[in-house]
Amino acid sequence: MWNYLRKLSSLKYYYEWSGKWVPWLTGFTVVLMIVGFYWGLFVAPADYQQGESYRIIFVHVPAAWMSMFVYVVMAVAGFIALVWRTKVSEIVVSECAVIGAMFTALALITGMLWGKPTWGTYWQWDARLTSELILLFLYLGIIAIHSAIEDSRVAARVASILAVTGVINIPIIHYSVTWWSSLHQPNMQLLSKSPSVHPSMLYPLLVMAAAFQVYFFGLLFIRMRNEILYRERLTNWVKKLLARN
Amino acid sequence: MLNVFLTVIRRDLLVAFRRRAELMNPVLFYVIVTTLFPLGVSPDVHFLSQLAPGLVWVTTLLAALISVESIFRQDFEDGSIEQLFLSPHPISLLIFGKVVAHWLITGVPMLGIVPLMALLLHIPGQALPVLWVTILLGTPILSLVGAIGAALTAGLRGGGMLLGMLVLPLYIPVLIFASSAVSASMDGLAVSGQLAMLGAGLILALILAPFAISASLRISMG
Amino acid sequence: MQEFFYMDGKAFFVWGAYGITVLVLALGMVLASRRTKKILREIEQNLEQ
Repeated sequence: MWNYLRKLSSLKYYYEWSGKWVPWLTGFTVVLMIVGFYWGLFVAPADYQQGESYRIIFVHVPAAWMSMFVYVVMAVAGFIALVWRTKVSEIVVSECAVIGAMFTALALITGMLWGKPTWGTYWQWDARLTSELILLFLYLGIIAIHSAIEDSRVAARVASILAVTGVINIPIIHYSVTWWSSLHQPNMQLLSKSPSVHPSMLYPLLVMAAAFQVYFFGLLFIRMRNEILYRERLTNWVKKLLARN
Repeated sequence: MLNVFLTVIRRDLLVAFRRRAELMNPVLFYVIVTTLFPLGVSPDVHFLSQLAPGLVWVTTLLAALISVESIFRQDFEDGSIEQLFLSPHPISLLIFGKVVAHWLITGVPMLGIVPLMALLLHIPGQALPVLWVTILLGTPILSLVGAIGAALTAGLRGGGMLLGMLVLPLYIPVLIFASSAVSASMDGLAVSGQLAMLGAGLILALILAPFAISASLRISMG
Repeated sequence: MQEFFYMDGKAFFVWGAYGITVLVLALGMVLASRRTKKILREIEQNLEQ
């Protein structure tokens, strides 16, 4: 196990290993996305309370889940980067920040599009939307400082510290925001976001969640391979690799 | 051990008192920003006092942010931070001493100016003790968390804006609990819950932040 | 069929949400693979020199 992980932490080995995975991941993403979209849009019945607009949940909820999952991946990679200083985990941190911000923005936009027909307004200072917005700020801060520091290794370690500090803070922020919003608008919880989920709605949601998950790893691998290729462009193994193709 | 800690604090206070004019800056900033709100929103007594807890605390966050930016700047440039790292004493303790000194210089004067702010914003006298306690519990958290961001941006030119982006989201829980405690006390409601949360946050920050700050400084030094 | 696209009059929101999701996810992949090509081209140019 440890040997395997140590091997993976070498850029060259990781590049070769991830190359085998990329076609599978992108293939599965396309299949799951098509199934999920078809199921969510055509097969799943309309909600008796929210009508057709509840279909937005099939893209909104997976995006929101991913926005948190990616942060956890980033923080774990950041911890590894700080303790063992492996280059692969440093690249995971910086690429996760970008992909995570993308999912968070997507969750916010689809949340707003869901809010307009449901609440009658695009923006409600609801606990979940507010936490999501703060999460976006945390991601943007990490991206900003990472791009402000020129030395990529220093930048990665700074981003790692922020990711680890953030993961301690996110539960506190989430708790405080939930507490705050229960204080200010108890009457806006009329339509809970997840009413007792019926299987006919749960299955397409799970398929979409799986599709987003596979998409994330596919994109993460591709982006990491780019970064590795760029950093190692002057080394012999990259030159040999290209000469072979 | 305690001696070294106190020496760091004494040294930073001495440096600060050499530039006495700058000592008043956070307080002045605090008062000036507060006067902007009645001008920009409305001077109505009822309206202002409703807004006041939030105003006082948003201003506190901004003042803390601006003052914490330069906490390591001077020492970083003249190399005294490196000297601290070379000393045989635990670095987290020395760095903690610097943060304490920073809080004594910027946080404590706020305790003095708060009654004036309460007067300007029509916060009733009954809420003043709670406002004091929130400042007492909250500003050390702001200094500790802000110092992490300051340590990360210490080596960067023009890191001020960046520092705000990094640190302000982390300040949100303090803002929520502190301003809610003040408005609850204005309505005569119980505030022990909010104060307990602030206290817990302070303990957590006291335990974890010194390590995060020294790790960040080590990275910034390269 | 028309009813399906109409979505109870919520067409803008439902199709907007799905559209932006597809757009963002596709854009993420397209930008990444364009960068791959760009880097490969750069390295090849260096090799030829």
